[in-house]
Amino acid sequence: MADRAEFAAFVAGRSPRLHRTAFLLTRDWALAEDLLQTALAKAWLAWPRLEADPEPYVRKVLVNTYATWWRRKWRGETPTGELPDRADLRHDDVLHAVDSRGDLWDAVGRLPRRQRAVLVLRYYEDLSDAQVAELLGISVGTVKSQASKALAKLRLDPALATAPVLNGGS
Amino acid sequence: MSADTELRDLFAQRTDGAPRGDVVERVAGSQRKARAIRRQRIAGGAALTVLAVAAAVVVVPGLPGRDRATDLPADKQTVAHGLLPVYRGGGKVLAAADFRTAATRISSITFTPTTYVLSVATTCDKDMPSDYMVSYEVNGHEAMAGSCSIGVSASSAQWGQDRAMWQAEYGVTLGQPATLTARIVRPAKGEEPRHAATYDGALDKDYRVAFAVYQPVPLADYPLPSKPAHLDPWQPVGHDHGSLYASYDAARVGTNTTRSTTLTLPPLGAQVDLSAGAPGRFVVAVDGTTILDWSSWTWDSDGFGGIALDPTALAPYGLRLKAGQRITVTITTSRFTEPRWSVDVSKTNRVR
Repeated sequence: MADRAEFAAFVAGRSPRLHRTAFLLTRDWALAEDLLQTALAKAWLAWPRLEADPEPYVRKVLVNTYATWWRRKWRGETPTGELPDRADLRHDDVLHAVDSRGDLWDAVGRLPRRQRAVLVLRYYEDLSDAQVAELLGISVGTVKSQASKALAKLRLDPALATAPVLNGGS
Repeated sequence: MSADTELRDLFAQRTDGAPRGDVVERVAGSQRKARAIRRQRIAGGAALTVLAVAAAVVVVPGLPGRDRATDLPADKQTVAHGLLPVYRGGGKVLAAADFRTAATRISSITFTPTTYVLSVATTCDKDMPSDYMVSYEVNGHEAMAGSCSIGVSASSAQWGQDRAMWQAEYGVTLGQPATLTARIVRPAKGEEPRHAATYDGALDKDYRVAFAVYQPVPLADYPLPSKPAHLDPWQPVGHDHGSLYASYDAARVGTNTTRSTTLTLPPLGAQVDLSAGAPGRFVVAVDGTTILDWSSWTWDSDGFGGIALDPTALAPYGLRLKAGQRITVTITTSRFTEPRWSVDVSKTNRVR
């Protein structure tokens, strides 16, 4: 039976990569840490039942937790029109200006979560479509459909129109 | 450079220099969350018990839509040896073909479009290795390329930019025959698939490749899918955004409605996120100009994703906007038969 020491060893060895995956999903390092800790928490609760390598389970929980995080509840329809700025957004504008892939990064951020998750699992985690399907609990056909929609949307994103960085679909 | 390479490079770049996490704090933090989850599960179990007791005395009404007409034959029709549907995504096949790679590596179809809102769909009866692709030419012009596998992959026909592409780049004229040619290619490393020669070498298997061009049909002619006998409860597709200006949920505002919100365009822009769990149509307008007309054609949860509302994104629609300007965003939904959609209008939460 796994114990606290094994869990800590797992976190020390495997969580950095999972943290990076979480960042690609949430696009915010602080949110990524929160998501990762939530996934690790669920893994800790299931720890005695996990197979020899817990990482696939933790990754599955991480991605599915992300996919099911709901938008913040809105209690009324009155638009304010004026909203407080988040102080931590401004300083990265300069980085965006010199980052040649900034537009592509922004466009990926505009994808629905499941589509973005499919791209991250395919192109960062290097999972096969069958592995992505099993992880997300959907069919392989749906994985391909979601990837196809995501790539099609990226190709047609107005911000990328002047610099077609994507060719082909899948 | 292929999409695969671009995205791999992007993700590698973005995660380079990740902050070093404090392992001790991460372990402690996750175990604090675990204790909180455990407490919630205990409390939730008690609540579910209460709900179960309450439900026992509630008369469950008949499921709405259950007695809708049985499946129309049209929505089950296929072409290309059953690999592609006649109807998909609001459109109907204009022309289709299939071929076996053991027999040939190139095939063409002729289609006569009456609109530029076209979609090209591809599928294979088996997953083709990713280093092989199907590359398309339209009227002899290099067009698009992609991998081929089980399940239909299709270019999107809903965003207007495709119109300029088909007409200006591919020389397609409405009412005139056009030719779509599919070739099997194996691009060299770094080579664009569209530029690769037709591959005539050995393949590990004999693949049946099917491809087609689709064009929208009038709604009255489109066999909308029947509501499934079992439908999962509606849950909006997750999106990421900043502070909300407005949020519309069909359950609160009505199944088919028009809603508007006026906001001051912030420096980083705003966005509109659409989610649907039923067939229906969204039209999004800014100051009266339509910027998106998107339809969902399935009962699966589907989302369009964020439509950027900023000066650059809206310029192609003839809108000349600037930060600080007041704009009115109008959302109109129609054709929904169930209150299974939601729309968020929010401040863009652009994070690096």
